[in-house]
Amino acid sequence: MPFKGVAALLTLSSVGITLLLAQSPAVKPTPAPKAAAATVAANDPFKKTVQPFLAGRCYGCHSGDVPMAGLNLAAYGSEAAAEQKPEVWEKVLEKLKAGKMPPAGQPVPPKAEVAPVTGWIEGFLASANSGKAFDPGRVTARRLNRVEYDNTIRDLLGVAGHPSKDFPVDDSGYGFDNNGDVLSVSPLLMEKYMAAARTVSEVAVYGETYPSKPGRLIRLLNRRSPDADDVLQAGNAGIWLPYSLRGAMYGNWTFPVDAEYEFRLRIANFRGDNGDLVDQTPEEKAKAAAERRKQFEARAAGRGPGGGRGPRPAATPEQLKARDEAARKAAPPRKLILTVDGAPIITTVVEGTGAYGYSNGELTARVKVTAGEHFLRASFPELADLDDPQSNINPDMRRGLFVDYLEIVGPYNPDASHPASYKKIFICGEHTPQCARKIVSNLMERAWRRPVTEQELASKLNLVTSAQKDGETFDGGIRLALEAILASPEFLFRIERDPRPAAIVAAAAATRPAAHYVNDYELASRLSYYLWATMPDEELYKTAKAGKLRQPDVLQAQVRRMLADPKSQNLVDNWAAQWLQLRNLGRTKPDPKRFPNVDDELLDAMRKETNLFVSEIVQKDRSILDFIDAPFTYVNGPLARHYGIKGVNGEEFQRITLDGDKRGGVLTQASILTVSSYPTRTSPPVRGKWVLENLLGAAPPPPPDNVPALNDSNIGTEVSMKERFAQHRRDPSCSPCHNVMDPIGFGLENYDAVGRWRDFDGKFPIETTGQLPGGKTFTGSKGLKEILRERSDEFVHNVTVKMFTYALGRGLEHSDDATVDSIVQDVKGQNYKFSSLVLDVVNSKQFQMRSVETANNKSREIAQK
Amino acid sequence: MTFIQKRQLARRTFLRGAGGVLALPLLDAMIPALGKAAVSKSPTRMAILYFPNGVQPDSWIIPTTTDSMPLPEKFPRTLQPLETYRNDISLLGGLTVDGGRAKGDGPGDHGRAGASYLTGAHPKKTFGKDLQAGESMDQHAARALNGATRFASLELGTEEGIQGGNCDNGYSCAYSNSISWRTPNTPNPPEIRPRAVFERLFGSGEMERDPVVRARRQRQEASVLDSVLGDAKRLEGAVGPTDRRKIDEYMTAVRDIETRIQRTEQHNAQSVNPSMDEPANSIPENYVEHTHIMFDLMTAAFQTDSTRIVTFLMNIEQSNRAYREIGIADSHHGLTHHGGDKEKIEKCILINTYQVEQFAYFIGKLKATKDGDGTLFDRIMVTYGSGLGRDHDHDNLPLVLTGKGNGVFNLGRRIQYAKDTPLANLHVAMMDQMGVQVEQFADSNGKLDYLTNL
Repeated sequence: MPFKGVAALLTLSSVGITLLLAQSPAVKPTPAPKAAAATVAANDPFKKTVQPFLAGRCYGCHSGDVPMAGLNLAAYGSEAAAEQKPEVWEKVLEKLKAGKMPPAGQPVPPKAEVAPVTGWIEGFLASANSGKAFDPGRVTARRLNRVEYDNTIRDLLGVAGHPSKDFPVDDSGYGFDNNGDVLSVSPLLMEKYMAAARTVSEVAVYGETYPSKPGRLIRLLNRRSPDADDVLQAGNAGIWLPYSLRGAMYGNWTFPVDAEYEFRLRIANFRGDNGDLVDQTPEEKAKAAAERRKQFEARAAGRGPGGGRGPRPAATPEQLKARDEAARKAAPPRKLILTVDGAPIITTVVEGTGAYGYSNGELTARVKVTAGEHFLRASFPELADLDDPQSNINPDMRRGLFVDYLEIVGPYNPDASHPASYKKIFICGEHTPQCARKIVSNLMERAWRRPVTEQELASKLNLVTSAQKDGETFDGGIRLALEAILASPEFLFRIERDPRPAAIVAAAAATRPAAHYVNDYELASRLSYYLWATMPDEELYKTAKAGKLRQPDVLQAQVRRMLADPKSQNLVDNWAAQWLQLRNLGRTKPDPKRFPNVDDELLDAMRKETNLFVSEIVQKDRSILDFIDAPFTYVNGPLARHYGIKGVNGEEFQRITLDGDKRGGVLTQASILTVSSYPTRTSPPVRGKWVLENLLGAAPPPPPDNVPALNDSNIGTEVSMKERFAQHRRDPSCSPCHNVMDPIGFGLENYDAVGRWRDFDGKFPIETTGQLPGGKTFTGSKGLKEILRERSDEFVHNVTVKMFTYALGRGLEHSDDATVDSIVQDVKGQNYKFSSLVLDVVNSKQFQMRSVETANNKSREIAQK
Repeated sequence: MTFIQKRQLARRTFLRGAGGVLALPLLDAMIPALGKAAVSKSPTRMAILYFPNGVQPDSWIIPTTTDSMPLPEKFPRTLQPLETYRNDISLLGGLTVDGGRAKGDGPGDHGRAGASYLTGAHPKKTFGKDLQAGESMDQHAARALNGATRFASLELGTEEGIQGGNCDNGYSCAYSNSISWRTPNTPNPPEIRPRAVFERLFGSGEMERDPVVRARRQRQEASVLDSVLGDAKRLEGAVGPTDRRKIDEYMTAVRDIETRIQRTEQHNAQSVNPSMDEPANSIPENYVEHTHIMFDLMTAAFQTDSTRIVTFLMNIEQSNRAYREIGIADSHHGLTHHGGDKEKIEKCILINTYQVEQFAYFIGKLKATKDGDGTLFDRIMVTYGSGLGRDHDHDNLPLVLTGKGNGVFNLGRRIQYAKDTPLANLHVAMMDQMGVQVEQFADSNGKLDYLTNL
């Protein structure tokens, strides 16, 4: 962005300018001739006022080869140099006005000294925006990401499953993986697109492949331990489902065809493993158990005598019988349930045995299942209420009771008629060119999300006819056209077109960037990919086609309809999960040695809690301040026990009301507390940074790479975390940031690295009172949330930025600031309702318009780099 | 077991059911082993193995008195797994990637290390728009060798790339997720799924056996490619410059596939029996198993001359993986910020050594794999290294060279280059040996000495 210099400043009237003018009666000629530099300095507000301030107050950290936060203020030697980087000065302004800089511990400059500097920056930023047309920005053609691809295929053809599962990970930009600039097409991805187009078109036309005779389709197994090693030794060829301390097994599986399937399930019942110890005293039992565990661990570590189990003492039949009986009595009967999408298929009761439990063989049931993905779960529901899940763990580390495997056998009596997708494609039945035309144009219009031209249609119809000439059937020809439609850039990218040829626009826009409304189809796609991460449905598309989508009441009604639709879950799974960094949960699992009760299932429960919580905010149109604190959450039996919440039993999630004492809002949810911790311990700075970055949008600058790490070896034993960090913070190169981050993180120290409540860390009592720069003190998560509520403007601003970035699929620019600010004000006036945020985003010019890319603004952009 | 689908053709699972060695019917041709031509003149291959987060110098560096000297009897700890291969490796010291240095951009050494290692570029600090590094050495060579093999190059890895824009102090995750860059703006993300690599190389068992149907399929595939290229061309004229870049990316990728199909046809006369089993359809979690199967796949790819250039990211830069297999629950990256803590340093060394052990497996594998009248080891050039040295520095990088590079490398030595010798000089030397003459690459200022017998 070029600036017209001081001349432009004069046309504006703001506080900044008044201040500026007061100090610089003469106008600096632009550009300043170099020879006159010395004399100009007196009249140059930058040289006279700003630079001395920076040199005195800021250069100490922000200059040199390795400046703090990568910000070298000494690099801006003149107003002209400063003008090249308005974004830098925007940050400087923000920090100065908020009193965040100079950092706590440094002398606070008097207001009279700061005001001229902030005034100059404000005037300069205003001039940067003056005299320019409103610029709604321009989003780069967005490639469908993996989620969008799968959803679109599902809604277009009714083909279930995850065709994108083999695609490489999508890169993200500005925190989200729907950023047009970053989503690229590598040759590898293109190969996968071609293969997926072929497979999907085949499945859509002919149905999934399946065995001609019923057979075992899959044996589902779960992990045998919290670590993966055992899985690997088995040399498995299948799918390994999450590890559950409570012995459950769960996951999704895609059934190929409407048919009957037999489920064969076997459990392992190791609860009789201690049968030979029944006559021993508790002390002897404990000793023997400790001995076994030691032996087991020695073997596991490869130091033991040759692996395998040790010899067992021989027993008489009477002893065996007695042992069985004792085992049966010692181990209570447990209910076992297998469900498909929540509906019970097998329900039985399992008794304790001393014979390793396989004697029962397989439990089987045969039921009708429709083609597509279904959620399977086999579990012992009563174990959800174990106070300590370790009581299901035997001394040898195996679980007492667990689902050993689940086999799916079939298909029996498969439905041989065409799959549902076939009916979606073949909307007429004759094998005629007219019918082919109808089918292909319908497919193209839906897949490409717009009407197609005659030329485009002809290019795909050609494939049908040439394939038929080549000996392919009519259906086969249509399939080939479908393959090409799905592999086309028109399907894979969301492309928006300029209304007129670029050349004409460029001429008209030589002086200022032109902008235009995107057409109704493009707006429909923007809406559906924003709220649903998929293509427009029939109603939305029809509204666009009728040209009504731009009518404000119609648009609002569509948005409300879409938010109420279950597909808005995508906003939770994609927008919220990326914003809150939930996708990183479980990427590095909590250390199982330190947190033995945190299994994969509990991590999933943590994820689900936040998911349900956010869903309620979206679906019930609650206040976005609920993210900070809300009197409700969702837990099931195991998660309630993890939290120490009484009265919640069973595996199902329940909505509970909270008194706000220990829990309430995302900050106190185990998902967030875990994702902002190390696998082995909490980290107050990491949590502090999480809060600043994700809730307040004020990420602290990164530490230099060579900072000494914290000595954490004796925290909790010899020194408290707080004391250790206090030592750490004394280093002046650390203090400016850590004085902000650490107190926030310490406010959350009552929650351990997996989100459990604690009053002590090791032998040291938790101390959560902290002081923020500026002198404000607070205690614990409650105090922290109060501060966040006081700073709700910053919070709402940040949520708006995250929402806007996701909705637009591009990073925000300086030119978006005014819109963001007005959305923040409006949302505030509407009681922070979630829908008001969404509607404001949708109604913004950025969402509805795009600027035209001209040779002119393109080259300016390049010049800036 | 027979499988049907609603259409008449029996496909997809047929070969999988056959088990054992998967020989592609399409390519399982009349010639028993490698073609005769291959025997007389085996091509030079190249593999670049990268490990993240650098090393602990004291456990890696062998002190030198002269520029070049034989390797000692006893290796420093991290390198000990390579002692048996004393005569098969050289240890290169002093090489530098200047582009990885901060140059006023502040912290972010991991992002810069990954993206600069093979490109020599100073990556642009961004976590959104305007990703920019440089063309990487493997891709430069792959482009120059265009057409020699079915795959110009393979990019493999063992750790899923991170999502989330900002991975390292303002550097996009893309910088640490890939070392191979097709263009300065397009990273080549590595494939981490063994099964996917196998299927890409040797087919998925979906190949038609009926030659008539198969030929028709090939014609159909070609017509689809033509058709979508037509769509892309129409689009090219209708969009602005930024969108056009995306469409160009798409078109390049489609043309890549076209070229590969043609090559596959040309190579049909040769056998591509991979002589290994199809891997399981899951991503191994155990590091040993994962790296070994990837090494096996690389070996099979080289052996069948499916490609001559492979990059292998043995975990992404700034990896936070916990190596529980060897009893380390902490994040690797976290440990490298040890601040002098002995226990953490020890864990870093254990992880580095563990990774070197896997590298040693690959050397053994190469030596045991026949290639023409010798072994693959005789033909290949392999580097094992990291873009980070001591304390996140970018000079004196840890680097092991192995493979005889078709008879030119004089191995078994410790070679210390002058301070700040560009790593790009090694790139130039290796490309040269691949038959790709480059005057200058990135910041190179020559070709490395001491690599050959000269």
